[in-house]
Amino acid sequence: MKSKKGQMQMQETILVVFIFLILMIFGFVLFFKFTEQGILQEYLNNEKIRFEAMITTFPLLPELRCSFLSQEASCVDSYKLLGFKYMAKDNNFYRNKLGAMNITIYSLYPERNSKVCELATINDCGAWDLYNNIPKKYKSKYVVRSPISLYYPDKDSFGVGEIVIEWYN
Amino acid sequence: MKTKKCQMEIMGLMVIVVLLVIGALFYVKFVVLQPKTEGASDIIGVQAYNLMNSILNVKVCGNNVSIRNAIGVCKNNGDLCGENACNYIEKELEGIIKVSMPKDYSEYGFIAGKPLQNSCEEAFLEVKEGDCKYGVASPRYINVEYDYCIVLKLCRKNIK
Repeated sequence: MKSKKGQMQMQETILVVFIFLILMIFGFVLFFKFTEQGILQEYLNNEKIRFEAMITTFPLLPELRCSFLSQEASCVDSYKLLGFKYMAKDNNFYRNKLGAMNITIYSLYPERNSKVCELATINDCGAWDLYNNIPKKYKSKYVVRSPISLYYPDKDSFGVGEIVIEWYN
Repeated sequence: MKTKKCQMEIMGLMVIVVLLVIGALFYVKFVVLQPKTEGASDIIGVQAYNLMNSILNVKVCGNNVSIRNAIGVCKNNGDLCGENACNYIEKELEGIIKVSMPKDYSEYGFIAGKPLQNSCEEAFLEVKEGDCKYGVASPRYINVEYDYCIVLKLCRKNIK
């Protein structure tokens, strides 16, 4: 009788330990899943902040920014935009730095012109597709846009444009 | 003996309850209390400032005077292109802002005044479209040469 009771108690202990272990494993799995999710979310948030900051930082690149007698101004040079477009094409430096993005600048004032700027159409165009690296597959797409000051060196005049940055992930 | 068994069972239950509580706490910490980043108004502020900067660079009056300088002339009650500088600038600004407003915005307020402490007061030039009471204002631009400041406020289509 005693040995049966002992067996029962042993079985009960084993069952309790077993359930405890299952609960512990379940807890750990949940914990790591949440931690992983948190880290991923933080990474995405940081990337999003970096991406949103690009409406300020991208036009400040020396490759685009206009300058007068070596003094930098808060505008982008329309001639430099064309130069950048050809330079960034299939360029690994910019691909590594910018990643999966699509950056375009449109002219809004003095006139809207949807013609894409190329060397041949430089005097009659209003859209500069600066960087284009759209992945074949992506989960989400973020878009930020902001007005931008455009400088036309040939006319020594300023216009208003809009920079549109699309980020794919 | 029976009491001991009961005690053990209660202890087991306690362990399960404690584990469930810890699980729930983790859930609350990592899922419910996840901070939500609200960066939208920052972006609108940047957009407003960029638009203001772009407008100030534009040259008017036969590509001779920048709006930045023209506002200074307006402040000193001068003339521009054969008419009162303030009236001239007002018309030009309306035209430029109308075509340059970022998507999703319909109302704006462009105010030039005296730079006092943290705001632009005693406005001498005010170009507006709609009420635009609860929009996002750009950081202040202060022109030291002519001693004036400018704030551009943008309002979304559905928010007034």
